[in-house]
Parts: sequence; C-alpha cells; structure tokens
Amino acid sequence: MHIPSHPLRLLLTALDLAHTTRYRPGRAKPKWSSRLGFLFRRTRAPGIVSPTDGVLLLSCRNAGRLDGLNSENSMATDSKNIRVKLVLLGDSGVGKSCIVLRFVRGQFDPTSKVTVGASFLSQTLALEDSTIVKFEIWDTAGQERYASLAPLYYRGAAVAVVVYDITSQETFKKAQYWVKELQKHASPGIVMALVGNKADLHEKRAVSSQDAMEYAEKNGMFFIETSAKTANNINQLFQEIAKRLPRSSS
Amino acid sequence: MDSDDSVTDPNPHHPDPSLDAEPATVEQMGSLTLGEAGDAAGAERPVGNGFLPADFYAAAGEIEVVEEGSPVSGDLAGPSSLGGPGACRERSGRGDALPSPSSSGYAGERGSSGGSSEIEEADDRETMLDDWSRGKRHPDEDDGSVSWRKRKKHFFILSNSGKPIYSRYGDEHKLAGFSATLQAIISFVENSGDRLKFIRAGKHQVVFLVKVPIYLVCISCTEEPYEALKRQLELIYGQMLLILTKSVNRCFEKNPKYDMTPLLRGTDAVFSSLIHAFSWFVFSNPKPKALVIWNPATFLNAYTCLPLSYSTRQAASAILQDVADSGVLFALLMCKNKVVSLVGTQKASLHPDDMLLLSNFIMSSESFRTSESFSPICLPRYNPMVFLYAYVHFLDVDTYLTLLTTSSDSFYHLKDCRIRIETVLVKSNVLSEVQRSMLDGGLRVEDLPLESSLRSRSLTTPELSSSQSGIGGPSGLWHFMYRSIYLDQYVSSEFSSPISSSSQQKRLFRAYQRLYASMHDNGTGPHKTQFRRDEDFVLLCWITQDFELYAAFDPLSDKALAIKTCNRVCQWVRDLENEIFLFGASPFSW
Repeated sequence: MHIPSHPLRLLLTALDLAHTTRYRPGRAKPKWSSRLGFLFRRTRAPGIVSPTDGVLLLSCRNAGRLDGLNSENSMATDSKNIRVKLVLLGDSGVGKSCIVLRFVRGQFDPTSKVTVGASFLSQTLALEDSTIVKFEIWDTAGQERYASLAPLYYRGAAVAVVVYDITSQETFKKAQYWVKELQKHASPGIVMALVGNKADLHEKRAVSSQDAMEYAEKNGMFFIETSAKTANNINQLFQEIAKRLPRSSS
Repeated sequence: MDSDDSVTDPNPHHPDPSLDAEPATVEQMGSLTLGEAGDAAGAERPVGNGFLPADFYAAAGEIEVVEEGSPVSGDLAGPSSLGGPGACRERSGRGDALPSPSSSGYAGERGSSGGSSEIEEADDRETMLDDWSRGKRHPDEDDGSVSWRKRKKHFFILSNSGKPIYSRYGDEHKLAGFSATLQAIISFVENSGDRLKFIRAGKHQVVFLVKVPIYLVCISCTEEPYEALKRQLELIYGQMLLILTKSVNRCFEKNPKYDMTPLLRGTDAVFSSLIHAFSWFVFSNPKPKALVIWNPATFLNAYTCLPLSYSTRQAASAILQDVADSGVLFALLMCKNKVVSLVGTQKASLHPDDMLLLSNFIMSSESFRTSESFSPICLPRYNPMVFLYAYVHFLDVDTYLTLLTTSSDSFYHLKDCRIRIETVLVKSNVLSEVQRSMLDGGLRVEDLPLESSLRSRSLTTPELSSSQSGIGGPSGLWHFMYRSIYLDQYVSSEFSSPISSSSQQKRLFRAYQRLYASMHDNGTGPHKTQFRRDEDFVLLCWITQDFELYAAFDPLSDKALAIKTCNRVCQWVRDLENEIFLFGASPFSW
C-alpha cells in the first residue's frame, strides 16, 4: 500500500483506529486519552469518505507510534502545545457554524440554527510532528446587526476564516468586505483563510474556484472549498491552518 | 364600595342575538366578605376611548375598508371572502351572526369562546412545527392572500415612514403597501395633534402603539382587552430593543426611509415564541411538542420561580452571589421560564419584563443550546440604550445559566465563573433537585389543606379529603394564581382535572387576562375585589397591598365557600413561601 508522505499527517483517524484495535475495556486507559478524549467521541457518517479522509485513513500506520507520541507529549514543551484563537466570519447562512460543528463534533445538522452573537467552541488537533494545536474557535453570527461587534471577536485572533457560499455571489462579496476589514483592523500577521463552503452544491455554483483562488492569492490567503455536509476538506482546512501558524520553535 | 365601579361588560347593549348566556354576575367586595351585588351592566365604556371625535368611531366601517382595501394590494378578492369580521366569524363557526361594529366585550367572548378557541387552536397546531423549523410562518403570504386575511392575530412593526420591519405572517417586503396604509392611519390622527389607541371594526380590534420612530400594530379578533393587546405590543417592542437597543432610532434620524428588516434577520423564532406565550402555551424546546405551559408573566408583570426547598435555592444563590461579587452584573439560573435563582450586584435589579424577554430570547434561539455563547443583549427596562454582554450556557436540556456583564472582554472570566458554578451545582445536587422539581410540577389545588390548623410545610401533602378528587380542589377550586407585589413574583397552580383540556385552559387564560385588565383599569379602578360568575367559571380576584390573588372555581361554586377557600389559598401560599418564592433578590426599584 502506498502511503503518501504528508508533512503534517494528522493522527486523528490513526488514533480512532488505535482506539478500536488496541484499547480494550479493563485495560488501563492510555494517558493520552484524557487529552485527546475528543477523538473517541468523533462520529463519522458511514459511507462518506472524502478524498481528504482517504489520506487520513492511510496514515493509520502511525498507530504504532502512539506510545511514542504519548511520551513525547508528556514531556512536551510549550512550543509543542499551541493555543490558537480562531474567528470565523462571513455572511449569514454560509455555513460557518456547520463547518465548526463538523470539525469539533463530527456532526452535520441540516436545520439552520441562527447563531446569536458568537458561540465559543474548542478543538484540539494532534499533528504528526507531535504538536498539539488547540483551536479556540469564535463562531460569529453573520447577521448585519452583529457586524459592528465583530472586532470584539477578531481582536487578538491568530487565525481568521472567512467563509462564503459557492452558490451565492453576494456572500463572496461579503467575504471580500471581511477580508478588507481584517486587513485594516486585525492583528498584523493574522493567518487568513478563504473558504468556499457548500461545495457539494456544485451544480448551483455561482462563484468559480478560479476567481476565488485568484482573490485569495492576491490577498495572501489560503483558499479551500469545503462541504460541511459531506465533511469534504473540513479537516484539511484546519490542518492547513495549523501548518501556517507561526512556530516559535522552528 | 361603589357598584358603578364594577368592571363588567363594557357594552351592555349587546346586539349579538346568538347570545343566550346569563349576564355575568359582578360584585364588589370591600374585603373578602360577601358584598352587595353590583349592577351587572356596570359603567359603559365607550367603544373608542374618547380621544377622537364621535364621528371617527362611527367611521369604523370605513377604516376597515381602508385597511382591507389597501390601494397597493391590487388582487383583492371579493369583500365577503376577505379577512374582515365575516371571515372571522365563519372560521369560528358562527357565520350566522351579523357583523356588528360593537360586538365586543366580555359577554360576547363568552358566547363564542367555545367555537372560536377550537378553531384557533387547530390553526396554531397546524403551523406549530413550521415556527421552529423555519422561524417564519407562511412567508409566502401577503395582504392579498385569503389565508393571511383570515389569521386571527397579526402583529406588525413598522417605521414612521411606513416601512415594514416585522410581520407575524407573510413577507415584510410584500406587505409594504399594507404598512404604508397603517402608517397613513396613524399619521392622519397624529397630524391633528391626537393619538390613536385603537380602532374597533366588527370583531376586529386594531391596536396601535407609537414609539417614535417605530410604530407597532396588532390586528386581532381574539377579543382580548385593549390593555392586554397593548401590553403585548409593549413586550414585542421590548423584544426588539433586547436585540437591537434603542439606538436603532439613530438610523432613522439619518435616513427616515431606512429599511430595518435586515437588522432583525433570523429573529422570527424569537418573536413567534413570544407571541405564543401571549396566548396560552409556550414551546417546550427543542422538542417540537406544544406543552401547555402558560406564561401569565406576559400580563402579570411578575416572574415565577421553580419550587425548590429553601436550602437548595440557598445553595444556588450562594454560588451565584459569589460570582456576582466578581464583576458580574446579574447571574441568573433558570429552568425553562422559571427562575431557580437570581443574583444582582449592588442595587441593580432585574425587571420581570426583562427576565421574560431574556428567557424567551434564549429559549427560542437554538444556537444557545449547541455551545457556550457570548452575545450582546440589551435589557430594555434596565437601560434601553446600551448593550450588555450575556454569557449563556445550558447546563442541561432545560436549565441554563446567564451571566450578564457590562464588559465586552470578560468572556474568559465568565467562562471560569460558569465552570465554578456548574461544579458547585452538581456537587450540591442542585441540578438534580431542579430536574426533580420540573417533573413534580407546582402547587396542586387538590393539595390545599382543608383546615388552616393542618397547614402543610411540604409541597406534596396528600389530599386530605378524597371526596374532591377528580373534580379539582376543595369547594370547586380549579386553579389559582398568586402574585406577590413586593417580590414581583407569582405562583400559579397546576391545572386540575376539570381544566385539563387545552381549550378550557385557553379560556381560563383569557378570562384571567380580562380579569387582570378590569382590575387594573385606570378609568374605573383600581379595584380590590371582584367576584364574577359565567358559564365557564366562577372567578374571584382579590388585591391587597401585598398580593393579588386570581382564582377560578367551578361555575356552580358557592360564593361564601369560594371566599373562604381563597383565604385558605393565601394562607397556604404564605406557609410555602420559602419554597415557591425567591427571597433576597432586591425588589424592582426604579
């Protein structure tokens, strides 16, 4: 089996598999389970395997290194534990909350629940280089009435994820508004990602990938198209963000 | 004791021929002793309120035409099929009755309550699920739709330039013409230096509330009293302020034609759940199941507490107080719409209306349940101009903690506070006690101690006399509400078996609403006592400096016994006050 060498291969799925194969009731719980306990609560809709997930699944060979990871972590310096404030911005209804809930809980709820103010969630990613990234995510409301309050949430953020809906040109315009606002007011050096969500609705596409990509490049952003519904590229998005984070150790 | 003061059918010359019920018996009592029977007809209240010339009232029919035939809505159906009085009566199964501009008031409601409440109930049930899944009811409708015209109760918010802001039914933008008509009516009267309070057109009542630059209008054929509808409009306005603050007014200063609808986008569920609380049920979120939970807070100006043992509530209050001392303005622990504990710093106290609007906002916004939230919120009675910041976290399905602060960057502090509070609440079993109390329910009239010597100190005293079981409490007591004026709190009994059906409960809710309005009528009141008998209930209301008691009995109940029972209810409530009320929260003081 060919195993693609991904520099920041995520151990997410690996740990999932390790859990099913190695961890049996009655045995002492591995130490890392408390820190990475969320991994065991992840639920993945059966039958939905995105290309990204395929890559992740292949990384299961890392399961053999779990104990190593564990010991490394217990000795980890602070440079191996990164806490990141991440803010999601974008028009209402583009799927910001869905992206977060897919990433944090592995869930997708098609009924729209309008976010009020901002919700706070956190999720930890274990990277292959044994770095633990803890995302503290501010999922902001997209409604106009909250626009003036956005600085409250993006102030001090290390990462801003600007989301639009690929089926709506209007939301892409709104995304550009947010990018401009962040360039003016956010902390310098903020990592910005442009995300075209609802990629599963490609037959209704109104914003071409090319346009978005060009816009992102011009503004020094990372660009990706995701689908919170199918989970496509969701983990990829956060891995890529983690990859771009400034590291004090490196 | 002035029998002319008695509050009764405002229109003694009731023209409705289908009414065969006896006139309501209205009596005045100086204290809770038997008084002389009052004049059943009572003082006549004008159909209008005297603010306008008489011919304005006579023109009610014309106003109605203006309302119906809004020049913008071109596709008018024939007048007979429109949502005027005719259509309404048709819906309530009384199509034979003639439209009459003055067929209103207590007796009229009584005659038709059976049929109409059932229809509306069905109407509400059918659309109940839509409310929560889509937020907006029937967004495809407009004032040209027959279905829209048949709706029993409309609420509108518009700007004083006639721009629609919110409509309970239908798409706001499609209702632009209709809004302009409403604005024209209001400004026509305003231009003559007067103020329009309401218009009665057949069975419909159009109630106006002017909060420049915002106008609020209710069009209803539910026969609720004007005061009740006006209060509902006040609450809707308060709900809007809670979301936006009064500083939205500035948008209109800059641009009178400002379109405010985008500012309220996504809040339809908040308004529809508030409007539901006006009638007779609120939703038990998140299950799409209507529970018959009243929210008398919508007219009582008070909040209610979850019954808990004194020590349990003390434990909750202690930890909340601890947190409040560390820079939290208000710490509020609630279970659905009932307060577990509430603590405020220094002199600040939370107005019952703010609590009602805040809990409605939190319970109807699904996103609060997914994770912890930090949101700007305005408490209109506290300060309508500024945003506070609310940290909201659901501790279980029904119980949620709200921490309010003035500082926009204290999220992490509030998060720590919540963790501390939650730990203590779990350790001291407060949360499990709260859940148990929710299951147990509140006071039951069947448990009312028979003799004052047998006072109980527990909520679960077994019924002493089994002869009353199945027919409510002693002496035909079916239900009561007790409001402590000093505490701003009320307690309401559970529904006994004679009023277990939802239509009966709705009838009772409406009866209480009218009773409340008549007791607090500025024109003829305030009153101390009222005894009223109609075909559904015997209603007794007793207001003192300390409390207000509203009680409903079997319609055949004996008056002297009912009065005796009310005295016992008051004693019972006083005996249990440590469990059913929250002490220590400073009373409303501004």
